[in-house]
Amino acid sequence: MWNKERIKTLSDKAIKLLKEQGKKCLYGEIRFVNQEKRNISSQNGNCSTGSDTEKGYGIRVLTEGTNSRQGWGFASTSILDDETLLKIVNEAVLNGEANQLFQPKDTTTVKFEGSTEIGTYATPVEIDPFHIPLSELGKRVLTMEEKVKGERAISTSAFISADRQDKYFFNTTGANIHQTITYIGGSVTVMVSSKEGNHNQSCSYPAPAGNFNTAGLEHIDNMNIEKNAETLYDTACEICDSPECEEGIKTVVIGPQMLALLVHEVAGHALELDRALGQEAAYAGRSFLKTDEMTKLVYGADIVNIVSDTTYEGAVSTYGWDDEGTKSRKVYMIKDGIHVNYLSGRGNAHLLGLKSAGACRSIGWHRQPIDRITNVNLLPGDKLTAEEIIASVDDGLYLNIPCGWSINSDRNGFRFSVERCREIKNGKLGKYLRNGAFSAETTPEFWAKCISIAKDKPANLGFANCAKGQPVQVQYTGHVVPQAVRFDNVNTGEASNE
Amino acid sequence: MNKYIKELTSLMDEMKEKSPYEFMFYLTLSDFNCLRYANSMGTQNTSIKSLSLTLIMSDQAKDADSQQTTDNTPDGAKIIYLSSSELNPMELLEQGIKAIPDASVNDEFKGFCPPDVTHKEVKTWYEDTAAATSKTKAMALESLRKEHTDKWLGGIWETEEITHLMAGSNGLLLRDQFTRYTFELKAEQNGKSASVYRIGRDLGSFDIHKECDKALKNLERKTPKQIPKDGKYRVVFGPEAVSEICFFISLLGFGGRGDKQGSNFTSGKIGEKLFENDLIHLSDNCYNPLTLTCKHDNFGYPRKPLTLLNKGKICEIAHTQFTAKTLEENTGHGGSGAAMLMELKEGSSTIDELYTEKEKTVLISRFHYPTIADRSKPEIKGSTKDGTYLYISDRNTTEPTIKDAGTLEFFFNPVRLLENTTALSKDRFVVPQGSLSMSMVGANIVPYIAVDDVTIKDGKLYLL
Repeated sequence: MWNKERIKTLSDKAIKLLKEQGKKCLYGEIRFVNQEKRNISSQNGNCSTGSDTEKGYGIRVLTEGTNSRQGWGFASTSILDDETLLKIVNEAVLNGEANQLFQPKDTTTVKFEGSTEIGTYATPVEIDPFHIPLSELGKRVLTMEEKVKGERAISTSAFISADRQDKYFFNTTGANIHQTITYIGGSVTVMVSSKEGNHNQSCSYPAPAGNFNTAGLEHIDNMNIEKNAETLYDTACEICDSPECEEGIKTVVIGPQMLALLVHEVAGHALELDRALGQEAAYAGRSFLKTDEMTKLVYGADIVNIVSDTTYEGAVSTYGWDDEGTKSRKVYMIKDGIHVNYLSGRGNAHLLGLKSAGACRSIGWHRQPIDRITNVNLLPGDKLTAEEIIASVDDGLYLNIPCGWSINSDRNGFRFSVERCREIKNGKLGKYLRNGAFSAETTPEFWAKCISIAKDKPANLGFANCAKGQPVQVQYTGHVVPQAVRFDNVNTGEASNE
Repeated sequence: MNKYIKELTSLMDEMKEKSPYEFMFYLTLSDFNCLRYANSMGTQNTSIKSLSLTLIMSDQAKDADSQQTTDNTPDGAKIIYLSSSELNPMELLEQGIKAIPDASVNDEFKGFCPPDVTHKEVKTWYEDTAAATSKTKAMALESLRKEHTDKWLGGIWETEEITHLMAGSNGLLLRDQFTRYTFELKAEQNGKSASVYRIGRDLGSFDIHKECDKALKNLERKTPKQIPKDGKYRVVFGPEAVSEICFFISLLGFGGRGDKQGSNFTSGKIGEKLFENDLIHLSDNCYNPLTLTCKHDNFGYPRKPLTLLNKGKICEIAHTQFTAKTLEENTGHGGSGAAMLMELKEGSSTIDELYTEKEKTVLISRFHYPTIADRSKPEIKGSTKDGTYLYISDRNTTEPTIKDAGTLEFFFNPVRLLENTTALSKDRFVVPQGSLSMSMVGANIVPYIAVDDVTIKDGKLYLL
């Protein structure tokens, strides 16, 4: 944890140094992050435990040069002495000045407004995972893994991972924010071989990369991993021995884990404003959601509503303020099927005359905050339950738990494959099929086929492995999604045969 | 930076005295700058000065036979990792001593063995790289921008100085200090795009204009979009795509863990011919300076050069402290657990010959989201990224017609890709393994390859 006295001394000095830069530094901020991680994982009965702490700070500045152009600069360090602070302030300003060379001439006409927020926020935690001995967590992970063992298992694994970020934020416009965010997730996976030994099948719960929330160890308890793991081996064998899913055009009902990834890849990333502005073009890609078509482009059927909601209790991107001090909020991104807003921070939002969506996020002290997926949530419907949606299908497929994907770099068009693919016959779930998949040529074409969205309590799901930015930032991203959504006339089947 | 190294090494004797267990420290000091640029919009310009200290501790008693081999402790040992961004070795050591009794036994880990340290200090450090600033880089990029105002240019330019120090209770002491840079440029015009990248240690031998010209030459050669019709094609894979293919070959077939589990496609076949193709020689060699990495793994073991495939025959696999049955079998691949510094032997063709020998050829420059579809077959899938072109050769003209083939989905067996390789370029290229920032991952050295009889159906590529 941070020494508050040291934070105050360093931040006061930093803000003073930033203000002394005069016009060279129009705005400046310092963000301290102490990050503590615990990873407990086991593979084939071998448990390894690790803990990692790192602390440091990053300084971000908006500079203006004699050429009337503005430029952002960022410098950071894990070395906390006074001598290094001066170097970091100067380096941030130099980086900002270097960036001015790439700015449009008219940047000075747009005034950046820094946050003036003051406050504290902490993730509500019932059972603190950092107060449980590593050996106890290790035993729990081994128990989870033990449940999925079986004669045909060629590989088993399980993990629990916890991460706590203690963050202080100060800027030259008076913001003073302290937040402690606790992330936790886990999962169990088994891979079995077919009786003939010619193919394998993985099965995981709740998903291959786990389900992360902002919470304490109670989140692992609530997921009931041990209980759900009990049937996983049998399910994996059953799927492994099933016939392959044939190619066709079908009605599909998509389950929550698959929906979370679908929303993540083709809504969340497409809505990131830095992509739409071309800032990610050389690496992660652009977005098919063009800025000049906002409020006009039809993203999907009129029952499709997608929000960014950083206030959703327990979701993995729930916080008090984003990493440039914008208060958490709920903002419609897709309203009644129309694209109406972007995931953005102040730096980019003001270029379009928008208010920040509170989506400017960084993974730690050593990365500049960028426009990121937050909790990008598909809102539930108001007519049918998940059970009723399945009952409404005469001949179709139920698809859940993603295991592979390919997505166009502008997020328009995709293919996903799933672990769990089951026939739906006469309104009932039938046998499993192997290598289930679905695809669409364009993203709006797919969402236009959305027929019904379940009204049940949605699933609160989160990923810990979303990579974006250069240098790369692997961030937590959340998706609160309905228990089931029906799409008609979808291209299905694994096209793995020539 | 030297003061941190001095501080850690000066404490080693005291810590050896204090700890009843074997331990080692891994200290990384890095000074990194990533200038991310775009033609009309500056985005991120990031500097990171970092210190990272990791303690690895085992319950192996210090007075154990220092020449003990891994065979002698078949029941495994406890191992813990503790990391910090502060130079607090004594604090970490005390935490480790407290944590060891509660740690579980890892039956793969047999305790520390003294690595055969052949290089106590390695320095591949260049002043031009170390002295580069965001301003000097930005000014060079600005001159490019002014020359090419009709095109969108974007990418990154990273420079980094790194020092690794490894110090262990068993006498291990290694120091590795180096500089490196990465330059990536993507050019776009009228819906077309082309990219170049370059990595190296010495910026003094780097010419930004020459690199940009390479991308622009490719950009100018292109014509409007045409999805290839259904049929059999030669597919030429560019260096970035070949590097990814080699990565999957290594991951799915040449790791010690997969071999133990029997899940490698090479399991039980070492020494056998995987396929008949005398053109294919794939090796892992950190001693080629172009692979730009440390010469030791995370436990301080020297990385051994490996021949993975020779003329299609499976030769050797990569082992770590955890997967090796004996000390001799450990190839120094701790960390990744796989061969990651690969060299694919060059062929005899020019790159133009690869495009023009067949009537219809598809060039794939790089992949987007390649993932493992089936480990056992093996099978990978994903889509191509920008830089996928259709070359149509007419024997009556010297220049082929080039069309932008768009983004194509693919389903490949990476082994069959090598098996069906009919030609390789005589020029080879250095391809970075991801971002260099604060990682030990280096680079692959690969040629272009031409693979025949790839099926295209409904805009999707298959070779299974």
